[in-house]
Amino acid sequence: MIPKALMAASTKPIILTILKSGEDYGYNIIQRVKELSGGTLDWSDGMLYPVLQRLEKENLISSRWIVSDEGRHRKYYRITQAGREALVTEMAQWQSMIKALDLIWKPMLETE
Amino acid sequence: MFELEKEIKEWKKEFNKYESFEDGLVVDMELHLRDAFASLLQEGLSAEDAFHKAVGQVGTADSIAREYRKNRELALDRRTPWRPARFMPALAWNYLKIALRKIKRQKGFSIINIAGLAVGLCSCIMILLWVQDEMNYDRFHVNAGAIHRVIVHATDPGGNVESFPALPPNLGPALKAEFPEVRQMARFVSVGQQIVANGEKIFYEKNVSLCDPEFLQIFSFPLRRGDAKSALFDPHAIVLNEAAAIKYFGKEDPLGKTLRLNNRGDYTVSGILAGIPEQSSISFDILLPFLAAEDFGFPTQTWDRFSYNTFVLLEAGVDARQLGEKIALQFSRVSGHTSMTLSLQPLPEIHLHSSHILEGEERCNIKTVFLFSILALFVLLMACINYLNLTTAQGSSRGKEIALRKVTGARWEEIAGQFLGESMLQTGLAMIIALLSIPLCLPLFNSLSGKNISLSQLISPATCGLLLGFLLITGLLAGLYPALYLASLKPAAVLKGNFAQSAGGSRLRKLLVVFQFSMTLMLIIGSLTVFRQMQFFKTRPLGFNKDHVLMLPLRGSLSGQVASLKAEILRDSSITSASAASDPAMMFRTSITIEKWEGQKPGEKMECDFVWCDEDYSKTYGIEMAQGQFFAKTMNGSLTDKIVINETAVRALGFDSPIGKRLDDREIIGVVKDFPAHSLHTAIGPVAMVYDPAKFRYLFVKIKPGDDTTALASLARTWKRVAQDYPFEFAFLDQQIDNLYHSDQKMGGVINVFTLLALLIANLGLLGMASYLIARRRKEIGMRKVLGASTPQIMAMLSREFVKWVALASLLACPLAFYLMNQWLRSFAYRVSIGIGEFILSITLTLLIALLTISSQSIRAARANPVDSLRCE
Repeated sequence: MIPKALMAASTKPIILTILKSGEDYGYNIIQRVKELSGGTLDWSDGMLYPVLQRLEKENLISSRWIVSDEGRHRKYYRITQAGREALVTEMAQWQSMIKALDLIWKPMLETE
Repeated sequence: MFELEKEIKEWKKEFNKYESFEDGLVVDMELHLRDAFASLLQEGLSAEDAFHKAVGQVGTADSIAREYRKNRELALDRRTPWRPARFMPALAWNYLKIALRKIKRQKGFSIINIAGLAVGLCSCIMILLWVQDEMNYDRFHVNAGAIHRVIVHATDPGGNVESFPALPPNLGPALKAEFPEVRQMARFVSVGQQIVANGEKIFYEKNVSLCDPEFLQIFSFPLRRGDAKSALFDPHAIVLNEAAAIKYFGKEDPLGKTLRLNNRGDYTVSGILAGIPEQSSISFDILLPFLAAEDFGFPTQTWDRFSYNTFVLLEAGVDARQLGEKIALQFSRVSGHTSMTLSLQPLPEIHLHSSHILEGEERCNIKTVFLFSILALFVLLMACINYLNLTTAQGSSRGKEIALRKVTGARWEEIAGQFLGESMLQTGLAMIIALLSIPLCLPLFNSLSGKNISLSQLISPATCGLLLGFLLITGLLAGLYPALYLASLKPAAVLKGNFAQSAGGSRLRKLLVVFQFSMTLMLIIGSLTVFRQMQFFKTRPLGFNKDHVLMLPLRGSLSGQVASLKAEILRDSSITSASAASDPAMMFRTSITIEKWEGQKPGEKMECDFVWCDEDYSKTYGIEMAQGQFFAKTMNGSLTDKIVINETAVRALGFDSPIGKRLDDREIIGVVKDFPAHSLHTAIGPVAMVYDPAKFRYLFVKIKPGDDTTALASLARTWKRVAQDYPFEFAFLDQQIDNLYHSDQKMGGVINVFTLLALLIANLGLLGMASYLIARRRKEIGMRKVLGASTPQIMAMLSREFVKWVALASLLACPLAFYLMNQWLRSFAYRVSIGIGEFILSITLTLLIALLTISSQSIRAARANPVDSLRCE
């Protein structure tokens, strides 16, 4: 079980990554997160929406309403240019973090 | 049967509870739920299971709402936008602007409010200063807490207890010798006015006192020169205050110089006092050592003459009450005065808690302090009521403003705060006016109260704190109810235009006006009763004639020349009689204990007011004889063996035929009709009169009515001839007797001032209410006039309501005033009965003033042209 703080920190890069591959709506986004992470990232679905709202406020994503063929209203989110740039930064940050952790843990893992 | 839509509706309700879920956000949630539900259905779950699982997946409204809230929090104070800011500077400015604008627009109401509050606050501040002054008496002594005065309580045969602070000279040394709790002791007695001379510089010193050497150590009277321990050790030492030292010695160093007293003894200056603080209950100008007492006719060794104030300084931690009981036991054993008991009175209590003690000093009474404080607070309360009434009455004019504020989001607390702020602002303005007017009122107050209160007293931190407290409490008292009332107005009702004053509000206003009138009425009744009692004191038959009697003090060797002085004085035809005695009537200073008489019950003694007089006392004073005769030169045997008593004494002794009976070793030769030995505060008690020329202190001269000036001139000439060493001094007996009621008259004066203030404020309030009520009825008045009502009819109609208020107020005030005045009058042995006259007069007066006040408004309304009030455009 991944603690809440860590989860909260990772939502932003995860959502941006998913939206980078194309416009999508809330329910689908959450399904894809579950799918892609192989079930490790198990959010309660509702928690996605405040994050989406925040990202939209920060202009990293934008949204629009689309009525589906079955007549169902859906709010589709898409990544903005600022979002793409933010994702690059986020990736660099996370990667350097992973690298740092690797370096720190490497000797420990070797001795085990 | 599972109904999806119904379930979703229920589920959404949970989300709608949170302010952070806007409608669109709940839609997001719902769509998500529907998607999850649909996909779960496809997985093959039943509708009900799918719904519950989907709900579980979405998560709880609470946790999601918390996330949404985070998105909305403002950077500055972590407040979400749907919560109003705690403080809005722009709004505060608006409040101030509106408040000032209202004060300016409604000048009449503002003046009534602010002036009323200012008068109330001003009287409260004055009384505060005065109370502080009274409470601080004797606190300047370093040992104030440990110094006590010995009080003796004597029970007369009738069971009445009299308390006085004068004790026999033997008591002091006995206390110090036998009670280790007593660290130091000092006896103190005033010997009154004496002649003091340094060569050619001769002056009367008004207040010469004798005291033990320890006196200056126990008390902290500031000594400029000399040593407190030894200054009064020598029997011929004298301690002066600085002003006197300069008077006698100029720039010379007074220490070691001699002064001559009463042309007899020489005294060496051994100390200079820096003047006695005003807040001292012990007063003197010159101190002489106790050892000089015999020179002034005061005994130094006896248990039977009660003349010395006796002060003790107790060791730390001694319980004064217990010690007092021990001392009392010892006293009755050693002195033989079994009907007397002693107690100790703490020094700081002397000034305010001595009303039950008989002494010459004029003191204040703690009850007076309470009374004045309450009166001042009443005046302030009346001003607060005016504010309350006028503000709530104006509710309609502020109604639209309040409604608009509420509609645009003002909360109840904010409206209340705004109006409370307004009342604070007005109180603040009133406070400033009050403080500014204090320098103007202080001289008047000082002359009224006989005090010397200075402005500097206002500047102490404690006083400033109290003033701030006054300000806050007054602001709250005046503003709290209007604030709550106005804040609870319903905006819908106001804006619809059918806003009517609530019945409750106007009922409260009426009640408060009635209360104000009751207070005013009570004060008027009180003033009248005090006035009548004072008149009564002046006019009551006293049993002697106080008019046209002059008092001439006999000083030094003069008491030995009485016979020749009288003979010379009586040559003038404008003088009808002259008599020498120790004390004037109503101002006896001595009492003695009669120990032996015929038919006495075992252990019985009788306390008697006592005077030494000559054979012309009864004639000069016009005191009538009931039986026997007064002293006469023609009597057989020595006059000093004879005694004259009054009728009360005869009754107390139980004699049927007193003439010829013996009291101790004196023979009763006559009985005089009762006359007062003290002021009329106390009942006439037993009086004994004895002939003894050695004790004479005054010459009383009765002059023919209408001849005052010529008689005085001739008296002065005679005096110069016979007693050339002594200046001619005189006082009129009736004025001296009037002075006995000085403190009562002072109190009457203060009550009159408060009555006037209360009347003023109450009528200002009435003026405001009348103008408001009449303004509301302008249309009605117009209609009535059009339909033929006359001006007097309309005025009568408008006044009817106010008359009802005064009537109701009278019903409330009269019984209470009756009770209170009865209580006050009880402190006098001789008093007026409360008459119905005062009540009728007070009610009529109040009614007249009220109608006059109202008429200023109602005349205008009644005479107004109806066209003006009825025209609509």
